[in-house]
Amino acid sequence: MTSRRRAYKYLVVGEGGPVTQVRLAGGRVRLNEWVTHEVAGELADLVGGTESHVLLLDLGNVEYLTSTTLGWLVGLHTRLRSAGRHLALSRPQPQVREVIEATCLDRLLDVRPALG
Amino acid sequence: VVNTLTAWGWSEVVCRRPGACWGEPVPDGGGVAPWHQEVVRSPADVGRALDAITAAVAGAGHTRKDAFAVRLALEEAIVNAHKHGHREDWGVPIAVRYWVGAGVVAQVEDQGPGFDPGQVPDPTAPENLERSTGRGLLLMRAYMTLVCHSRRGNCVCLCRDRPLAAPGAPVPPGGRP
Repeated sequence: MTSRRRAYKYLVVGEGGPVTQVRLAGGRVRLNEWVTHEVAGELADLVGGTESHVLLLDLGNVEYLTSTTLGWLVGLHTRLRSAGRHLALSRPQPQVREVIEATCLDRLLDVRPALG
Repeated sequence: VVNTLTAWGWSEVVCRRPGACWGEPVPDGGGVAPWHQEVVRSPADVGRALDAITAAVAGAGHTRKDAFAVRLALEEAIVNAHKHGHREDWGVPIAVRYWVGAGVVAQVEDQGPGFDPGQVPDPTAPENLERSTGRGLLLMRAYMTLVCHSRRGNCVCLCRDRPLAAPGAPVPPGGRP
């Protein structure tokens, strides 16, 4: 089977069986309004090109995100869920977790303190 | 601050620490720190404005947490102005004014028709969690001490003093000590 995998500017992808692990490229990532749109485009391409059941998005190097990022994550969660798949977010830094909790999205999204 | 803004005709005053702000946010002279102004006409301008206010907040001795909070709230306000106030038209400038001293006050003004913040649905309600509206305003309110809008609804004023408890923390009756 030919892989559809393309080179990504914003994503680093590791695939292992039923789980696709993704992290953001770079050291300290600031997901502002405009970077979020770029990342979302690449991740949509990745999701469409893989069949793994779980998408594990490592937020370990994300130091800032906005309501646009959260809206995108909610949309991705909903889209994957409707396809019988699952989005998990791992290793959010304290200030990122705080933003997620301030919007009560920790009730909706699967946020994990560690990878896996 | 609340009384001053109310007297100016501002509405929807949401203060997490009623009566506990640092003082009047109108330092026009008398040796107090001046207001700065940025005009935003592009995404690059947004970054420049946010970098400038973040540097000013850090330079005034506020914490990294304060800088994070102010940057986030201000970006939410500018993005709202661009998306909703100007229908994503960068040809219409957004005015950003800020003052950094013992606290931080920032205003974001667009040239749109304005909106009624009271009509924005609560994004934390279970039935709204998967909707995309209202989270920006929610974050502004969570991270700033006070958020209020001009009567027309096209200008938002964001204030933060210190210290401030974690966003989302319940406010005791009468405000925090």
